[in-house]
Amino acid sequence: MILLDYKDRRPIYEQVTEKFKTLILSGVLKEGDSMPSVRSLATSLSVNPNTIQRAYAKLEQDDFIYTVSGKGSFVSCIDTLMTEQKRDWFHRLDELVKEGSILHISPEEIYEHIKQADHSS
Amino acid sequence: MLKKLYFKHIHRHIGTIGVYFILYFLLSNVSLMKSISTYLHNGRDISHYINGSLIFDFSNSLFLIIVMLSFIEAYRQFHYLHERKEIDFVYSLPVSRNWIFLSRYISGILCIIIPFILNMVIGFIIAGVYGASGYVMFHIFLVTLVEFLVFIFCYTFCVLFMIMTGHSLVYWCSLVLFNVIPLILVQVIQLTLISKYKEWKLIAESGDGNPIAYRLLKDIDNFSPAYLVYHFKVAFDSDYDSYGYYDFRNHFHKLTEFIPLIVVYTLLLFTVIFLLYKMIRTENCGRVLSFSQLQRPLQIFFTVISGIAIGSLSGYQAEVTYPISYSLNVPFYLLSTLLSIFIIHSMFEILFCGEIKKIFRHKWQLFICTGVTFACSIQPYLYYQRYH
Amino acid sequence: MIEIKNVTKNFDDFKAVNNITLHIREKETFGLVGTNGAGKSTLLRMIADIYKPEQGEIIIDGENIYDNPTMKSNFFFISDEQYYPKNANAKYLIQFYCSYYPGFNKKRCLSLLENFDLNPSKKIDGFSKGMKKQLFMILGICAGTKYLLCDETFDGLDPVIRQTVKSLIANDMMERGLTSVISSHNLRELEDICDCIGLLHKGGVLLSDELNSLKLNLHKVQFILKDNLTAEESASGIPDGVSVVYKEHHGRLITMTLEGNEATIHSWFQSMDIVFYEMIPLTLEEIFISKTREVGYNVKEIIF
Repeated sequence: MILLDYKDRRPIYEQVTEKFKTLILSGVLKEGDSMPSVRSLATSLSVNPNTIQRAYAKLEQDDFIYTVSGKGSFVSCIDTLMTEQKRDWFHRLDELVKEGSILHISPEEIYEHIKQADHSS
Repeated sequence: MLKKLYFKHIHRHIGTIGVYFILYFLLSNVSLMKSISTYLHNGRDISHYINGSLIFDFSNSLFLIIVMLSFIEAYRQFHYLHERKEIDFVYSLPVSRNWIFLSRYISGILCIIIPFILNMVIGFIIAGVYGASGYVMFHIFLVTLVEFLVFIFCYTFCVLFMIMTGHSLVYWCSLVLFNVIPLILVQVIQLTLISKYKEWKLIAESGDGNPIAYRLLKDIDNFSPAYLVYHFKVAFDSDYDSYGYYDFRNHFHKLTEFIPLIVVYTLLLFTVIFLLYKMIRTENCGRVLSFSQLQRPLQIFFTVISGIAIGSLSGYQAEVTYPISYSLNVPFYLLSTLLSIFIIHSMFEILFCGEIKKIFRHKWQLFICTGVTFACSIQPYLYYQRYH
Repeated sequence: MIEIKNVTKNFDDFKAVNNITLHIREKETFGLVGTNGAGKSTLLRMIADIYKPEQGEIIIDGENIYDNPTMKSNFFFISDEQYYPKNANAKYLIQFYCSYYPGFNKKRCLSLLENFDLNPSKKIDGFSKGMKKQLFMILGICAGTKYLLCDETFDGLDPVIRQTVKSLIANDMMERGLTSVISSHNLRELEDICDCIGLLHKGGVLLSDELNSLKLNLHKVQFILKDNLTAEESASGIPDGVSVVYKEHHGRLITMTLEGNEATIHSWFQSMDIVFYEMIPLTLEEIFISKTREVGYNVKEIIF
């Protein structure tokens, strides 16, 4: 289901968490879908199961998944999450705009760039 | 439950047991059957011959084989002590160290006991077929028992060497040195000096004023399995009476004296090796000695002994006059002693350290060895000076 | 749990292991790394009861392991150079180990050997070095012991086999709570599979920590100075809880290894007057080099 990038220096559980978040937010994993078991994911990725468990705990903490004892983990409803994620994204955009102003990029230039990018995609 | 484990693998020893059996069989029963058949050709009463002579007795070659088999078997069972990989493997297994030792020790004995018992039974059958009496049967049993005890004694002795040394090459060299060289040297000294000087023979037999070299060699000789075997055989050779018949009673008497002695000696030796085994440090595997504390004493001991031996052997010249006078070729004696001390000391240094540059590492020790050697060597010279 | 308490091991006058204390928790994989001659193999052999420590003791599950066969049946030791009886094949070894380790899973072992394409009836002499390691790894995993001690087992396996072995370990960790202690020079592989890392150098422990904490606490930051500032000026005002482990500059590009909280470091750099900065997580290899450099192990800098 997910592939690890071995060149990525971040801790593995961070990678796993992020990749699942992407899958969930993009809709590949829908609400109610069951997550792979810790054991099967650990063996398929050849990583320590404690790491996977930690990733799942983080995902649960961030409300991306929920666990039913005896049955496994499942994808949660992401509506509120989406709002949060969007807010985070805009926050990051603010940072980029600030950086751009240092490079003398005006808001108009940014807007034009977005329009062109949208056109070509 | 664990005790069964090590014996399960006895099937790996079947080949060895087979070889031992064949060797032993060839030297005992086959040669025996040969002598019976030659006797039969002469047409005399075979049972009279069997009951009157000692054809089921020990033979030189058999003894030699037993001693050599004990060297080999001790090596086979305990060579894991000399191999780093193997000792790692054996000690990481969930078996107690005592049991590892005991099972290996007993395996070695089992490998020889089976051929011995088989051969004894074959001996019984041959003797029975040719009408041997109960005495002869008992004698066959006694002979097998003694040979077995001799094996265990030599085997225990060799296990001691395996435990004390850390390297297989050192084991074989030291075993040969300990057993063969004192025996040879003693014989050489007796043959060369005795044949040359008649009076020396008297001195040698009386034991007084002998060069210390000779006495020391005889003492070392006493402890080796080769001594036991050689002198034991010499003692039993004299049991034929004037008619060529065998004195069974005398023979049994000697054997029954010998058996408790060897059993006690073996038990003592076994206690020593068991205690030493528990003291082995596995990291010394592969090095010259298992107990590094013994390096210095051993070096000093051998340097002094060889210094005395070589110095006095090369330096002394006895003159056949009455009363006995000794002359000492002083320069030759000094040179040979100093040279031998230096060479032997350095050899040991290289053996223990592996580097030629380190031969002068223990200068004080070298001086002390020289002093002790000269002090010991000067003693017989001074003894004879009294009579001049 | 494996407790190593103040253990010292001397080889004549050389201190191979000097007063080491480590705790290895259950159901975790502990990576033992270190510089050459640091004492990793010696320490592992002491845990496997091959060497006896001069001082200190090693306690597994509350019992001292020295000459303790019942306790020793709880672990399986795989050496870097494996011993096997002459002319033995894998079947013989399976039979052999079955009698010593009651939990040995013969069926699983034979099926794994088939999957790894190793013929159980072939003489082990005919195996390559890597295949021998594979064989013993399989035997070790199938022994069903609580603890698995591996001395440089990953070194010498090809990448595909390495992944498979890691998956096997991961599977057994979940299935039966396997605890492994793995020593290796291949830090890249250990990063995936280890929970904790113990770094040894010259017989002592430089660090012993969870891998995640290590990665969270050490950061590499590269930043470019503005023209009018010197390195010292811009790197002043280090906040509390943050320490500079290493600093290197090439002109205006400065690379620093910092120990401390990630957020604190971020805010510090944001407050600084610099052109830009980049925070890069450290790989285990870089952590190793950094920590050993601290104690003077920087051979490259000595030579060149």
